[in-house]
Amino acid sequence: MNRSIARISSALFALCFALLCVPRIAVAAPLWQFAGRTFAFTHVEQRDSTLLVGIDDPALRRLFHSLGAIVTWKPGARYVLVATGEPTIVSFAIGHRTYDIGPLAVRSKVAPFVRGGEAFLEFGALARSLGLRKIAGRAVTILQPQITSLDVRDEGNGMRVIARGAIPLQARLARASARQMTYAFVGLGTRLLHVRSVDAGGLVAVEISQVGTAANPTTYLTLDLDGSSHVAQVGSLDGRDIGFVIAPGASTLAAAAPVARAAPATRAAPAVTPSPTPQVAVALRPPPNAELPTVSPWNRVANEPLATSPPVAEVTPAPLSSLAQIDAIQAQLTPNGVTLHVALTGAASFDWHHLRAPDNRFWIDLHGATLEPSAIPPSTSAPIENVRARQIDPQTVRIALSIDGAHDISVTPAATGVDIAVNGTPSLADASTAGTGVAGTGTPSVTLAAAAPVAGGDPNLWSVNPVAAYVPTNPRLIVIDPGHGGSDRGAVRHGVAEAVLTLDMAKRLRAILEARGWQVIMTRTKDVDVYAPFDTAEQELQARDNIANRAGARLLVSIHANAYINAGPNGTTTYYAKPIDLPLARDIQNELAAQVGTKNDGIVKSHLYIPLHAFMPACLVETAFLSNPDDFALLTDPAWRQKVAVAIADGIADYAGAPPPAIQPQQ
Amino acid sequence: MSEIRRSGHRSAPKSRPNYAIPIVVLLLLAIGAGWWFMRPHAASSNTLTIYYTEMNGTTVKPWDVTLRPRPAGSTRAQWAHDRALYAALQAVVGPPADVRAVRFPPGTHVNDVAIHGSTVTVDLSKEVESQPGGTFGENAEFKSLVYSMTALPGISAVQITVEGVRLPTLPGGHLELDEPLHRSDF
Repeated sequence: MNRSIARISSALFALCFALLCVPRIAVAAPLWQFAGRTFAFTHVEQRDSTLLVGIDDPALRRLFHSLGAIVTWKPGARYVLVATGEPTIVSFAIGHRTYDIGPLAVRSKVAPFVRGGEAFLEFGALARSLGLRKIAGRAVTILQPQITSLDVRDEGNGMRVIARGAIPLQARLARASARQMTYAFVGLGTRLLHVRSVDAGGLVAVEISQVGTAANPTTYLTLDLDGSSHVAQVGSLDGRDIGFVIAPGASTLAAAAPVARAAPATRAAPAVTPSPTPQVAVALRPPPNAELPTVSPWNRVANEPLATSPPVAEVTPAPLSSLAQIDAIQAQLTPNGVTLHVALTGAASFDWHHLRAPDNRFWIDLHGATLEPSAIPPSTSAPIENVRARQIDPQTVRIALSIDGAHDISVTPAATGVDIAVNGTPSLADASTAGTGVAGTGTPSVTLAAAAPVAGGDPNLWSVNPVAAYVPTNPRLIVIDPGHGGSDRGAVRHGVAEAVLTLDMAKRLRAILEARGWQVIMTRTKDVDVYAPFDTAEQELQARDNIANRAGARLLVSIHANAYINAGPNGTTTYYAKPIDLPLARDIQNELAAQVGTKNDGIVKSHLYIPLHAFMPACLVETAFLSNPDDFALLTDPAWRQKVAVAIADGIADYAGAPPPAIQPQQ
Repeated sequence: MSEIRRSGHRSAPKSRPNYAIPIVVLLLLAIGAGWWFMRPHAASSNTLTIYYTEMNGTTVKPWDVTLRPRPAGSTRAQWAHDRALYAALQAVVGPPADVRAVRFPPGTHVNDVAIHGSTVTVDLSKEVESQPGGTFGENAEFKSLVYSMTALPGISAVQITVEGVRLPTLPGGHLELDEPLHRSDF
């Protein structure tokens, strides 16, 4: 009896053990097929008859790559974020069955989990998110990429049909007649099986259907026309979508604009809805544009009436001769760390700030001081990562240190300058500090204070003082900066380099300005780097600013040609950064808008290096887009480049008037 | 000697106050405070406002996204990090396909984010360096990212890094990036 009970107990125990273990046993990997390639996942788990795949699985990684998807997750993170090529973000939360495909919440059968430092996701949910349809066969399961959405839009002067797919789309014209155009998408399937009546803008109806096998599908898109309209096929750069522009009564199709260039849709017709089975991909469609606010309060930044621009402060600075001079910055290794000695001729007040972790940055502003070009910041050793010195306005020099970790820094003024000692031993102190003092007087003085006002992100922490007044030492001098050059070609289209075009326009501008009585310096007069071949962008840009700053020029104009990843954007823009740049940018842009015939994209404020680091009013003119066919034709026309030069010169005249008379040397 | 011992015996209950109750109260307060600060941040919303820049290169427009569900037990700092990472990724990926927006170079993604005070550091992948040239894309891309990140509560500045490195500018670029960017920079 006892033996029987023991046997039964053992059997029950074994059964329970087996039942508990079965869901956790890795299953034999099934075979999958995508784009003609057969593969198996190796990082697999099965829960409740549902396949989960680890995100580090090599085959899954290859699939992601093929689809242009990128996964973001690291051990400890609570979300697995997948950016699809759509583009849409699919967010899975570890331990939760609900996941999101863009704005759409969906429930998976099994919640994602982490095992062995790897996140596992339900593959069915993942495939659906990526626009793949699973079609089970005898030997393999085919992952069929889908046409995921089809939009029909009335654009006022015609219709636009836009198809998007899980993979980049290529449409082949399969059948063409005056009343019907049929395009084939080979290798893609769809569940958007439907005929939709449109009857607007020359488009009568849209039909989509699928033929072929699961492994080799073809989807046909048929546009029924009213007989007088024409269709042009347009695409975007990533090829993810394809558009068909239907122009009623149009005599030619070649002039159809690319997708990105077309005027915004005035209203969106309802999309073709899937039938009979609703599909997630269709629900992915974003809310109509009408739901987005049409007026943004930030639009005012760019669109604010120019008349309301704040007046530029007109403060007469101290005579340059009274400024102290920073002759050298020397680094010296000491038993305690590294000491930087800033050698000063004359007296200057200073304030310094030391931000603790994580910034670990230190900077000191010396007021009433100029930076000698020979005072090159030294190369340093740990714990100082680098030293930068620059004249942030005509009377202030900033020396900034990046520190490798938390180290105490002491600032000691001296009769000949100021010493900055960085302790080599890491410090436990975590409070940011600041102080002020006067150096170079023979009677050092210093004050220490807590740095609360600047800790954690003062908007002007590292920026040039935006309200600094500027008085040129040579008011007759204008510096022209032809953008790029030498090893930096800038934007290049069809073999035409921005660096060449900007030099040509700059030379034309120089000739006009000199004829009008200005002195002109160009930062480069040949197709060369200004600093050095293959230098960093910072070295190159700072070298150009240095030319203007050291010359004490009246103003600086940097000439460029714009570009974008597709042909859509066009027009002329003048960028500025500082308040004192604004009137110059406005006057130049006004003349460009009036004279050169491109789209007027207005003036734009941006955090641009060239105007930020120029003491004087400066702006950067993006004359036109190399990437836009119409603008490209203008840029390559010498007569148009001459127009640009004249317009910029006229803008300078509007801003600065006539050049002041040259100062005659006293007899 | 015995007198002293007896005397000590008698006076002990009077000279030693009972600390048990205050200690228990303080302990409970400490536990309560710990729970309060470490509890999941129930008050914060799951909805984030993301900005994209229109094809004119300057106008930013908002759209809302939702991060859900909020994992149980995440601390305030973890939740802030999750929200910031999601916001950065959404800003870089951009709005849905049929919204015309200036977009980061294809393949650009967010490696991670880190919040320090009012500054968030967004570490971008190297694909961001594949700019086509021109100021247009750079300005519009970073403007939308800065607007999106500074829409998060308590964030006013965005430090950009590329593959973990702070760059003065992108290679061949135009914008200065080694300083935290603010909305007022655009």
